[in-house]
Amino acid sequence: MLRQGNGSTATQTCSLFRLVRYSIIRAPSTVRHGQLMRLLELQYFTLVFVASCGLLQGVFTYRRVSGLQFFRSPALGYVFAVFFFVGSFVWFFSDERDLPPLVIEGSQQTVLFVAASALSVYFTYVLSFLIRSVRPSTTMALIAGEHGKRQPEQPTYNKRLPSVCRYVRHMILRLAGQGADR
Amino acid sequence: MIALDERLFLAINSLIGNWSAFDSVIAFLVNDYFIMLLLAFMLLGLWFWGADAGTRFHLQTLVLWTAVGIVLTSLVISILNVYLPDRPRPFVTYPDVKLLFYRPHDPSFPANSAAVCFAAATGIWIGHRRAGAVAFVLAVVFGFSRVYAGVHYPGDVIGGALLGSVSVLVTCWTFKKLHWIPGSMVNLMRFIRLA
Repeated sequence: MLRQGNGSTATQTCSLFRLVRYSIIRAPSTVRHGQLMRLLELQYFTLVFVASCGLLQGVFTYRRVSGLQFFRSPALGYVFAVFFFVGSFVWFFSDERDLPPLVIEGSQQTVLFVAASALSVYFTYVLSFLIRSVRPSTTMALIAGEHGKRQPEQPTYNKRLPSVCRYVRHMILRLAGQGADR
Repeated sequence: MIALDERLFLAINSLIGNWSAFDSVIAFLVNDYFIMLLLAFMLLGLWFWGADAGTRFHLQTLVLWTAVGIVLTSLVISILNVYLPDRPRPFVTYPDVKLLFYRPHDPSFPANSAAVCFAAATGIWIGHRRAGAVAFVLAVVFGFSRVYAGVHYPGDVIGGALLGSVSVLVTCWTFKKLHWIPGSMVNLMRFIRLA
């Protein structure tokens, strides 16, 4: 709980949940209005980022965009989506913000929302790419063998991955190869 | 008309205190983030919703139109706030009004946040009817909560709702004539891998 009392002091509850949270975002024990605003903006950004990741997984699972799903199982994809979408809201709104009211202006909200959701899209690209790189390539063949045909190809948004990602993969494989040689 | 608006406001606001659970729900819904965020996430979902490239392109241009419509709404409200005489907030006119929200300082008419919500709901409705219906329900709930909480008259919310919806419809109609503008924007988004 962030409470701006008579002056500019703030107290924190001892709940483990908030303690972990404030240890992550480093809320000081004595904060001013400007600092509280920055904290709120950071919390808002985190909310949008995490909820967007959940939402995107939900949409990609529903649309069967295989290239951008974190999980092969649709059920797991939906569980992930609901957990992160609902969880981020619960996390954000469980905080009690007392008077004086802290309000992020509409234009600022828009900027934060666009930035966080764009970041979540890139995060989804990179993470799904890394997951696909790590997954054993034989699994697809096994599935294809089990069902007698290949899984239907679905459109992806990142058919041509950025060269940066390819370079990272190349470097990881090269480093792994060097490690194995030694 | 104004008298009717104020009577209606007082009737709705007088309900505070009858059901504490309902008051708590409204006190939560009236905040500046929850319903706004839900609507924004619906727009984000719509951005990636298309099953094929053509539908996706159509929905993405629509989301851009909606965003422009929301900006237009805010612009019109800023201009109205300069040229229209300020309508005081209900808690200023009636000091004994029960409040479930903090005291905003900007003019009461038109309701800015309600206008943005209805603008977003209109955009969603054009793209996806069922999601749009849900979005309109959320916008209506938000508008009602603003009146119930004592920060707006019903007329402010209705004015804002009309302004927001009309702005998005006008933007959509205009960009149908100038379709290359959102088209170029979506292509730019595709170039940076956001679409």
